[in-house]
Amino acid sequence: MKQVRFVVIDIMRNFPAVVFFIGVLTFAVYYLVIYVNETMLYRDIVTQIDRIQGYEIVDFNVIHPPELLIESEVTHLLDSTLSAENTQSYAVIEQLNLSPQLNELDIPLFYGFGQFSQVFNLDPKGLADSDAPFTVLIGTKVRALDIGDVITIGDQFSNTIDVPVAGRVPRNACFVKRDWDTFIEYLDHSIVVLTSFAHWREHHLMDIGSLLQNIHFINAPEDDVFAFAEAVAAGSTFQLRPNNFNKYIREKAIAFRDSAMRQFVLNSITFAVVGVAMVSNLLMLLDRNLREYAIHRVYGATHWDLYLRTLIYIFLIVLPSFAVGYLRLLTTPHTLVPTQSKLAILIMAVLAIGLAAVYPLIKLKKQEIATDLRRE
Amino acid sequence: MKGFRLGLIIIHTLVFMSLSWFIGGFDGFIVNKADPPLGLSASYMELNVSNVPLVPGTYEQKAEFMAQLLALVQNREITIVAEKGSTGVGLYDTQEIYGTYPMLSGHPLDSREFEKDKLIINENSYIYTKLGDDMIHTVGNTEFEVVGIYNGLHPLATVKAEYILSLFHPQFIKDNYLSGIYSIDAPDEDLRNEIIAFFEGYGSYYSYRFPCNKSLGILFKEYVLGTEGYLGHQKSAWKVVVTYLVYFTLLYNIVCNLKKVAAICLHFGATKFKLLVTFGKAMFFNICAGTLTGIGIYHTLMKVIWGSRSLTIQWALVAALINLVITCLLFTLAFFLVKFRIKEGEMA
Repeated sequence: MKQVRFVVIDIMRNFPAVVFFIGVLTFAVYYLVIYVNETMLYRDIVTQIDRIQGYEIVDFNVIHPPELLIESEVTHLLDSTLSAENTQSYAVIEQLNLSPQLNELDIPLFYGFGQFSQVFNLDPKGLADSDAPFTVLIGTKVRALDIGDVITIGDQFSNTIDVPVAGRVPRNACFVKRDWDTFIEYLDHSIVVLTSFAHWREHHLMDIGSLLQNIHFINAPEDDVFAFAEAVAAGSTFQLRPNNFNKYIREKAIAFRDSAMRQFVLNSITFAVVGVAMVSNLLMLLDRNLREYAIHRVYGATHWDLYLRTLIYIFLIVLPSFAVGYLRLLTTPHTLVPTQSKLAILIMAVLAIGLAAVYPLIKLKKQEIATDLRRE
Repeated sequence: MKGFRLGLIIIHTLVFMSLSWFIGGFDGFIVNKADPPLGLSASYMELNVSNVPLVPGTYEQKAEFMAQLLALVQNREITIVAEKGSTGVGLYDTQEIYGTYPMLSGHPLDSREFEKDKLIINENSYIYTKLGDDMIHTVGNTEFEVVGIYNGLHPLATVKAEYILSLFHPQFIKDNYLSGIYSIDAPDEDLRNEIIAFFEGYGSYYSYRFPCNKSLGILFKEYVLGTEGYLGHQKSAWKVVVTYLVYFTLLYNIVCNLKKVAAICLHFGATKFKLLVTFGKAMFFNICAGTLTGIGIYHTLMKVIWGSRSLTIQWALVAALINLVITCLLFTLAFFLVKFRIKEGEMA
C-alpha cells in the first residue's frame, strides 16, 4: 500500500509525461488489438472454410435487368430447387425485421433454405422438424430470447406465423458468403430460421434478385447448374453466370490473412516505438528518484519494495491502454473475438509490462544506491 | 557520445519502417490512380453518372439522349467505354485505340459501323462457351454477328463483361440505363468539357475525375484525406505522426543523458552550435544505419515474404531524405530544449 502511495507521487511528479504515454499507448493498442484479433480469427476462418471444401459449391453472378420480368415458372423452379428434399442446393438471405416484435428486438435474422444447415453444421442436434414449415434457432449470445419463446415470422404485407424457438446454433456458428466487404457471417448474435422457399414466400414479399444472388449449388453436375441458369434466363429477364464459390472464398481468406498480418506488423511498429520511449522516460524518472530510493533503503525499504514501486508505475501506464483496446474490440458490432484473441491480448499486456520492467529493474539492481547516497 | 548505439539504430529502423509504409502506400496509390486504365491515354477522364433524370427512362427517351450524345462526338477524335453493369460494354472508338490490340481471332469493331449488328466476345466468358459455329450471339431480340474474339491480353478484358458492342447500338440502349461509368479519352479538352456540360444539361448527378496530369500535392491530399468512394489514409498518417512524436521524446532523453558532458564542454568554452554539430555527427551514423536496415526489412517483408509491391529506388530515397530532415529537426529541437546548466545538488 505504501508503494502505491509512492507511485501516485511519482505519477503526480511526472504527470504530463504519464498522460502523454497513456495517450499514445492507447492510440497504438487501440488499433493493434483489432489486427491481433483478425490474425487469430484467420485460424477460425480457415477451419470454417476447410469444412466446406468437402463440397463443390457453385454460386451465381446475377445480372439485373433494367426491365424486370419474372414468369411463374421461375417461382416453381425455385420451389423445387430450394425445397427441404433437394440435396444439391442451399440459399441464405438476411431479412429485414418487418414484424413489430423482431423490429423491437433488433436482432439480425437469416433465413436458410435447402441444405444450408447441413453445409455449415448449424443444427448438429437435429432440431429441425421436417414437418414444420419453420425451425427457429438462435445464436448462443442472444439474450433477449430463450428456447421456447415465440417469435412472429412474416412481414406486415403478408401472413404472419408464430413459431417457438427450437434451440440454439452451436457456439461460433457461421456461414461464408460472397459479399464485397465481409465474407464470413458469425451467427452468435442472430436468429436463424430454417425453411423451404415455398413456405417462406407464403409469409414474405419476394425479392427474386437477391435470392438468386444467394443460391448455391453443392456437388451438382455442371449440366444441372447450366440448366438452372438457362431456365432462369428463359423465365425472367435475369441472367445468371456460374462461379466457383470455393475458389472465391479461399482467395478472400488469403487476402484477409495478408491484410491482417500487414496491419499487425505496422501497428506493432508503432506500439514498439511507443513502448521503448516509455521505458526511456521511466529510466529518466529512476535517475531522478535515486536519492529518494537511497533514503528509503536507509529507513528499511527492501530491493523488492523498489521493484514493486516500478512495476506498479508501469502497470498503471500500460493497463488503461489495453483495457480501452479490449473494450473497443468487445463492443465492435458483428465482430467475433475468439478465446485465442483474448488470450493473445492478455499475453501481450503481461509481456509489455514485463519487458518494460526488465531494463529499469536491472538498472535498479545494479545501482549501488548506498554509494550514491554517500557521494551525495 | 559514442558513434555506434545499437538501441538507437533499432529504434530508428522501426521509425523509418513506419514512414516507409506510409510512403510505399502513396507510391502504390499513384500507380493505381494516375495510370490511365483500359489502355487509354493521359487525356482520359472518368464520368461516373449515378443518376440521370431519365432513369429508368423509356427506350425513346434513352435513344433521344444517345442520339444527342452521338451528334456531339461524331466525326471527332474520341474513345468512349461505357460500363453499365450488364453483360456487354458499349464502345465508341474513333481514335481506334483498340484497333491496335491483337485479337485472338477476327477483327475489332469498326466505329463507323456503330449501328450494325456486330460484336466481339471475351474468350473467358460464359457466352463464349455457348457460341456455335455460326458465330451468332443473340442479345434480346437481335442476332449479332461475332466479328472477333478477344482474350485476357486485351485492355478491355479487365472490365467484367462478356462482349463489346457499339455504344450507340439500339439493343445496347434498350438493355441499359443511361447511368454508369463512362471512360472517355479525348485529346481535345473542349470536347471533354462539352461532354460534361451535356450531362450537366440533363441534370444528371455525376462525378467526374481526371486522374491523369494531377500534381503530386493533389494526389497526396487525396491519398491522405480520400476522395469520393475512397476512404484515404488518415489513420496511417496519424500513426506516422505519433511515431515521430514519440521518437522526439526519445531524442530528448538521449540529449538529457548527455547533459553532464555538454555542461563540462560548455564550461570550457565550447559553443552550443559546436556541441550540436558534434552530437549530430555521432547521431548521423546511427540514422544512416537505421535507415538502411529499415529499407532492408521493409523490402524483405513486402517483396520477399508477402510478394507485393515494395518501395522503388526513387521513393526509397525520398523516404530516406524526409526521414533525415525530420530526424535532424527533431534532434535540433530537443537539443535546444534541454537546459545544460547543472544545478547544485542535481545528479547529471
